[in-house]
Amino acid sequence: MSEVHATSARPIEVGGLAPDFSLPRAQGGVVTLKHAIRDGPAVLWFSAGMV
Amino acid sequence: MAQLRLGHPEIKRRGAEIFHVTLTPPALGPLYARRFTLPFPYLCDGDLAVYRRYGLTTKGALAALRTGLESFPRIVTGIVKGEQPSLLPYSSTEKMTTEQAIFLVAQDGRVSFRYIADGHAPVPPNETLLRAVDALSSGFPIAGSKQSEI
Repeated sequence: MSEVHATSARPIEVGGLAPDFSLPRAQGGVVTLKHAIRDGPAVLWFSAGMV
Repeated sequence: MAQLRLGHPEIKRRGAEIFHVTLTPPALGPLYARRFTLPFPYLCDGDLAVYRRYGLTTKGALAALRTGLESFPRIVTGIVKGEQPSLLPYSSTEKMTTEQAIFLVAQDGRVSFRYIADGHAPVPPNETLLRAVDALSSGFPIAGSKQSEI
């Protein structure tokens, strides 16, 4: 279960701060964005369906 | 996923990582990880909380029903072939109609590239993503575009 429950009316803009999140990883563990970007930029791919 | 899988080694070589945010319920995530080779972190946002937090939208009940009917034969075929483990992830019609998106998040937490499109649109070419990653290190980020509205 994710730890964020806020809703947003508009997509995040270029230049804006990416909302932090913490999500379970299928391969095990949990990924938190603010921790992930310590290692480098993050490409967040939100898929539209099940893949 | 095939296109991004191909581009993943080069993206990694440039110091970035792909995080695949999916509609998969957390309980099914480990099943996917056992059955498929997942090239990058596969994150389970089953309640769409993060999708919504990033401003991605859904289409509504009628569009969801239409999309569900259109994709049902493909889903069943995938299950029969063993390509998908369960019908369960598709049980919510809302989940069939989200936008797809790519956000490149720099190490300072700011979005330096974004792409948002209808679920049926192709993802941007890997070259576009690589240019966006390269632009981050050069200090001149490029902006993506919202390709289509749903």
